Amino acid sequence: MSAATQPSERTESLLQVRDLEVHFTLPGDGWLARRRVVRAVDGVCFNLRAGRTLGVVGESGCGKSTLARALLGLVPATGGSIRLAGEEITGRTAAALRPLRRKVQMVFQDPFASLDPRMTLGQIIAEPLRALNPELDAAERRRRVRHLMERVGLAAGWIDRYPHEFSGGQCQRIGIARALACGPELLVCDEPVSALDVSVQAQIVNLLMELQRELGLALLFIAHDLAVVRQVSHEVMVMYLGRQAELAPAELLYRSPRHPYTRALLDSVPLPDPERERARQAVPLAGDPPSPLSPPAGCAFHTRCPRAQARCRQSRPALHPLEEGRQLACHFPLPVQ
Amino acid sequence: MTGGAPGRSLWQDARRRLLRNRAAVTAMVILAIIILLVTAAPWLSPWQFDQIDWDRLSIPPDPASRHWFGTDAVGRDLFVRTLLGGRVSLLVGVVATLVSLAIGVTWGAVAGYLGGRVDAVMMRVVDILYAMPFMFFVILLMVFFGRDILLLFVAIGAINWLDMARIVRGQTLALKQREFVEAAVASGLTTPAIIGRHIVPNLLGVVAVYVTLTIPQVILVESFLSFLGLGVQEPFTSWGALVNDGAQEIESAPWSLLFPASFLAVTLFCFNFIGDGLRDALDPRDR
Repeated sequence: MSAATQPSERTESLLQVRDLEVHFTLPGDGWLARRRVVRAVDGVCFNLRAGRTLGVVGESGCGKSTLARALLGLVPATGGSIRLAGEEITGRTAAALRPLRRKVQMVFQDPFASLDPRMTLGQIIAEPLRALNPELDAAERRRRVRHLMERVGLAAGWIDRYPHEFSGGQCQRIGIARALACGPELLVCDEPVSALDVSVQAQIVNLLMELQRELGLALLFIAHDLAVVRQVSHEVMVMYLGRQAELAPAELLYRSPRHPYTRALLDSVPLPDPERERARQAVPLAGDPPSPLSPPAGCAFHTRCPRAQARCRQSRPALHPLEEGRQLACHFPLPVQ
Repeated sequence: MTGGAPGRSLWQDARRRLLRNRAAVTAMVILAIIILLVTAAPWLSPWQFDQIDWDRLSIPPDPASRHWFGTDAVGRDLFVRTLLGGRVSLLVGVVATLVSLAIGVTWGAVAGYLGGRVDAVMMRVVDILYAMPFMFFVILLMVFFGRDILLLFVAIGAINWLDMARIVRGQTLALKQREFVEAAVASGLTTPAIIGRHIVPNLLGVVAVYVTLTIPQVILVESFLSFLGLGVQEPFTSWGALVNDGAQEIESAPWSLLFPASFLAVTLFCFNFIGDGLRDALDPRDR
């Protein structure tokens, strides 16, 4: 159990994200048409310390992946701040960002698409070393690559093979080895197991947790499988239409969700026991999330919320701190259980 | 080292598939023979390409005097001239294609990868050049600067890169969406490094196919220019120029059309079969 965002801890946090906004402007129809704006990430705040994991959950299109890419500087933030080890990431040019890349790396969702099919494993894993540690010579790079491969559970003898000769799980290990190559402090994992078989998922999750223990990595773990997130995370953030609905220590969030959306997400997970499944009074989530192009006024969730009232349609609930390090954005939260 | 065998790259896979394609392999063999003949031309015949045999003007193939393909209207040996013309035609095809390859791949990859305004401006340049009447452009160049064979390479290459740029740009747009490009950005690679290390190598399959289809196209363009009298200058020749000469004497000396035209046609077929074979071998949809 962790106590999360206490003010006194902010200074030690590896990653501090404040009011992060990533808005995309879409070209309008024709020259003078009003440009439409997608608020992919809209006011996200959290801290992440070394050696800890923040899980991020939400439906497709809620801005999880955009959040991940903003942390890597792959998409520019349009507002707010991201501080990594005390250094601001937002607003930097590509060249100014490069020194920080050694500290934060990413594991991608699609293990095949994230590896260049024309390169050997050795070339793929060595790439961050080539770009970020140019002082290393080829022999030293190769030695490090072999070490990394063994570390993530790949035979070092496969160094001259190509990605298409490997399974999804093995490719994901290659991706993890590449992400670890330059010794990052933060690993952003964008649905790293969603594309894998269930049996392989567990292996990859265990590998990531092992690496975290060993290297003291901070992990930002994005997934839509709530069970996986619960297993890996110290804290969990729930996102809805680019906004942060709730953030709480994992155990607390799963035991006692207070945002109706968190509750609905948890209720949508089937229970393994059919007796209990029948007995529980689940409130299933109806319909699809609204288009992020025109999110509802007020609380974005009010169109699907069983507790919505007039106020929810008019004013947007602010994110406010609650008990035990919980942050919540809801006018009518569920009672503590 | 355990399991230390180096893996098979996608190129090696493609080569295996290509070698299983009979039409493509036959075409490669025939093309190799033609290239060999064309290279070895001076040693295969006692006659020089510009040497006039006053005793035998416009004779049909005659092994006795070692005019294997006969002679043309001014008594020059057609065998040697056909092979020599092949040198010029193939050279034009390859060099002009390389010119278009270099410009087209760079232009298309940069425009596609950078996107936005840069892309828009670069592709409008291509559109404008497309709108220029090509033959008119080449003819103007030839008239102003004289009939120089180097100029011919440049002129044809400078026109052909437009298609290449468009194809490469389209492919780059698709490649740019792949996660390994994002991974490269996250790994700290600079934009030129990403284009050079990730975009271009992944384009090469498509480009290789297009190149094998461009070479015959360029050879045809050169033949057409020669046919119009704008190609290579006498006494040098090319297949196009020989076909032009032969066509004028088709009734009195059909062999002077037949031989160069057959070489031209067979070469074009070969390139097209190789191109088709490459496309099938490299097409990821068949995998």
